[in-house]
Amino acid sequence: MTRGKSGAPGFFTMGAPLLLTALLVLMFVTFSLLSLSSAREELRRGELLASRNQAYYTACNQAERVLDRLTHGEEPGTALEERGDTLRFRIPIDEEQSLSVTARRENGGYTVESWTVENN
Amino acid sequence: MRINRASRSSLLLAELMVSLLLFALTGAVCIRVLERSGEVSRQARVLTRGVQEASSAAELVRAADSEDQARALLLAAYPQARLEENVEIPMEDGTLRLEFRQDQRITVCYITWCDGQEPVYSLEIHRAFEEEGL
Repeated sequence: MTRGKSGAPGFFTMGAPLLLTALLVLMFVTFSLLSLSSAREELRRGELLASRNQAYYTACNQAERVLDRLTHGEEPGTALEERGDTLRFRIPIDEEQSLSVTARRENGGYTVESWTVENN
Repeated sequence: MRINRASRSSLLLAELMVSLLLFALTGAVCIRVLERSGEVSRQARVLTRGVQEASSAAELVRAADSEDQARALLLAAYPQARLEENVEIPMEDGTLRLEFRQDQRITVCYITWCDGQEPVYSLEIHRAFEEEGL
């Protein structure tokens, strides 16, 4: 057993191994929990990106169908703002954004002039 | 004195054993947690990659005026694409599959990003192509 000159127990005797282990354990637990929380956050962001992307393309699909109905002289199924040969309509993407489409009537069909995402 | 020294030695031995046990238990738990975080991180990477690739393909389909042009644009962007009835684009870390179907006047393109054989992310693109392109 290691003893100091005074006869008192040395550093590597009582309590030190347990203290060292406790510090190592704390370090391991902290790093592993940080790693798990960072990975979960990364996945949450990925899922958010995926759902926003899905919502955007769903709105694009709806806009495409509205233009197709207009081209074939059917009811568009959405509110239109008409100014001469130009018309504009909005398709909601989510609570914060909507897709705004401006199209011009041309040769019996419609030419898209703008296709933008706007904040509500 | 001899009893005292022996008692101290056995105490130290007990302490070392407890430390070792604690270290082993925590190590085992931490390894499981690290494995899980690696798995979650991989899922996130695959999903993000899928969203990016599916969006790129979706924009190519949306830029085309006909299904044939969409296929040509896809082939130009992805020379490794296999154009059969469906389009299959093998990549290093997954496969992009595109399937075209007709729904009355609308061409519907189903875009799927697969990790191996498992679909990870899908998008549906509707296009009202010109009549001759149908």
